[in-house]
Amino acid sequence: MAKIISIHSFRGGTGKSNTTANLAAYLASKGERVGVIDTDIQSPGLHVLFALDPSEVGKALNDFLWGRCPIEEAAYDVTSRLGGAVDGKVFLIPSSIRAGEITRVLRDGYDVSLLHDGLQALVRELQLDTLLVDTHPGLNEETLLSIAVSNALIVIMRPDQQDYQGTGVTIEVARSLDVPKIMLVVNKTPSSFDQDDVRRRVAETYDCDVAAVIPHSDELMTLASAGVFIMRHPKLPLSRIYRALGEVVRQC
Amino acid sequence: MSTVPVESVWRLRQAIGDLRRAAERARADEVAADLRKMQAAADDLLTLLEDLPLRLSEAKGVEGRRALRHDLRTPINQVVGYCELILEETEDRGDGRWAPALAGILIDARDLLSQVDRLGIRALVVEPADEEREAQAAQSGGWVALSRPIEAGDRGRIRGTILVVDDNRSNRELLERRLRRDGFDVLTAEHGARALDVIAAHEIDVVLLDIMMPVMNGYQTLEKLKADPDLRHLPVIMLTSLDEAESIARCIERGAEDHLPRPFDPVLLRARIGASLERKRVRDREREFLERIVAEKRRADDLLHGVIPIGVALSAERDFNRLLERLLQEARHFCGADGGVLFLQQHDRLVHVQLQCASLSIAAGGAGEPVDMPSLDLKVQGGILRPAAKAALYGATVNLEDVHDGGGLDLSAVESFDRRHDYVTRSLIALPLRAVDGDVVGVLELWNATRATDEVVVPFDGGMVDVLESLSRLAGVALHSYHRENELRQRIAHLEIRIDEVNRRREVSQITETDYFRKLRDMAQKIRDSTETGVDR
Repeated sequence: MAKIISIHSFRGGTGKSNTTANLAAYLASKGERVGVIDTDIQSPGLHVLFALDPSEVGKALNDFLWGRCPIEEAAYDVTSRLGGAVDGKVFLIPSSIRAGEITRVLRDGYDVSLLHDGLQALVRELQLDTLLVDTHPGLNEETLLSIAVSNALIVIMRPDQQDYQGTGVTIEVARSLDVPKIMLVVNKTPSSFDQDDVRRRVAETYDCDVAAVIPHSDELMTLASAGVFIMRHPKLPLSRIYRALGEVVRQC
Repeated sequence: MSTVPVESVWRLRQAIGDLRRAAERARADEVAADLRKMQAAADDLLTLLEDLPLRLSEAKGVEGRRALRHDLRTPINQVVGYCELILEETEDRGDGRWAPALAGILIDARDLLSQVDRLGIRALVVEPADEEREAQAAQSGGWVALSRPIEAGDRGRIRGTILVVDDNRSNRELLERRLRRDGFDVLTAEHGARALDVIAAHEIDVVLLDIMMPVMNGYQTLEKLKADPDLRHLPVIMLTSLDEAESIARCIERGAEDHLPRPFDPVLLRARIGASLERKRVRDREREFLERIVAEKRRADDLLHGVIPIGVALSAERDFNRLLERLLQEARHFCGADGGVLFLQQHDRLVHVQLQCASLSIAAGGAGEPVDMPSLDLKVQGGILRPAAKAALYGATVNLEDVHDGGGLDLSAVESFDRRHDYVTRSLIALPLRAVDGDVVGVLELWNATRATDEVVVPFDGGMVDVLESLSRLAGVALHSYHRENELRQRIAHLEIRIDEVNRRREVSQITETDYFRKLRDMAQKIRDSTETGVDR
């Protein structure tokens, strides 16, 4: 039984890609085969964390879904680039080189089940345990599509940014789509905050589980941008928080 | 070898006696009294002259001859001195009756003096002629202006207290009168040992020191004075009856400022005293400046090595209670204050946040025991203020050197504290702690500064006040920054997650009430229904 988990944030700069990469690495370290769909290959994101040069990227998920190429050509095994040995596997799959192509599939009369079938095929071909979808910020059609087919949705927010409204909308919309599990991750929490208090307030406000409260540290941010954090700095407290979050995802 | 003609002395005595009688008849009592003293001096000289051949033969060596010459000159000098004094005093009063006779006596007395100097005592140096003396005087800086005739207006221009040390009572009196006439304050001593006592008890500006004296002579006295670091700078002018190069050189070598040959030329006397006083004044000022420079340097060092690092440390202190505790501790440390209180201003009140007293072993406030004292209301109109309230309201330091003087302040709290703890508060200082914008954020109050050397309670002096005011400025800024940071933290901690429900629903419906979304939801539902638990692998 494989899980599709969408990772979303209403705004950019919340640390969504970083969280995704660390989750993938954690799950792989537990022996899982993990697929990561990167919806934003154009701007620096997951491929940077996985040390994958955009020039290496040729085919994308759409090409596989349309039968234009075998999965091997759309999925890039980045396991060796995680920065440490893991029992599992991590594949990076760019969703589409051209933004909005998936949505066009829908508009052209294809239904969502096509994507579902496609993702199922991907899971099957790559023998994935978990498929993580790193979505676009905001709620465009493509993002809604990912959320719709997900078993779980992780919404990442920052407490110091005024994106409460957008986060609330995302959660409400996800509820409308009957996503079985919705959870919040509060990232880049200023260290002066009482972490437990933040967790409680956010959970109350959105009536939603808070899977993790991750403190902000400039020093850690510098380290984090240079690779997959939990692989490089497994002993630092931030890695412990990522591992705990990974465990929550594993139990979904 | 020439001799002093006794007849000349007799004539001089006769002339003095005639004038005295005339003065007595004219009821010029003061003149008559001085003439009697002159007559007594002439009698002393006659007595000496009768024994002169014997004394000359007995005079052993240079010292003996010197002593003899000294004895002979002393009465003549007194005649000259009194004569000059009477002349000046009567002239001042516009009384010219005595001048011609006095002038004649003066000429005779001076002539007699030169005859004494011409006695065949070869070891003695002949006193310089008057022209020479004047030339000397003109060379010495500072008294050219004084060499003109004395006028009443000049007197008292140079002030100072002069100690006259001479074993001869008449000499002392003569000099004292002359100096008082010139506007000086005068103290006298009959020998060196007595002079040292007077110097210890009074503020003396110049010492006029005779050389030959019993108990302690002039050389010994000079040595004692110059060996004492506190008295080394006191100018000493030697009174040299024996006007000889060797004796003068000996005194100058030992630190004498100058010398005055007898009989005293009034102009020369005033000039040399004036010059000595001026030099002393310059030296005193120099010393004062030096002390001030040393004090300034110490203060700068205190600031650099003490206050500034503490100010920085206070600003870096994250624990507020610890910040308050340290602030009071460091302030007390700088002036050895036995105790103190730190107040923080909260609205219109000063609240005690720290109380420390070393001798009573009290340390309250902060994280420990709270300070059990009522806060001060700053809104109270009129009436007398407590020191801390005054410091807060006026934004200025309140320094009470002696609490019991009151200083127009309400000291009931201090008295009550003293009563309760069987304590005695003597000195007290209250300093406002101000933020960068000048607002008073608190008050630092310290009591009983103690001297490090003997732990005696002293007032908070200028140096301490400077350092404490610097520390207070830094502390004020540290406190203010802490408050601001804390406020910010609280504002962040109280982060309100506000969601506009109406807007949210509208935004949600804009998404969910589209065909696309409905289709999406239906499809998702179908998928979930078909797989129920997820995607098959």
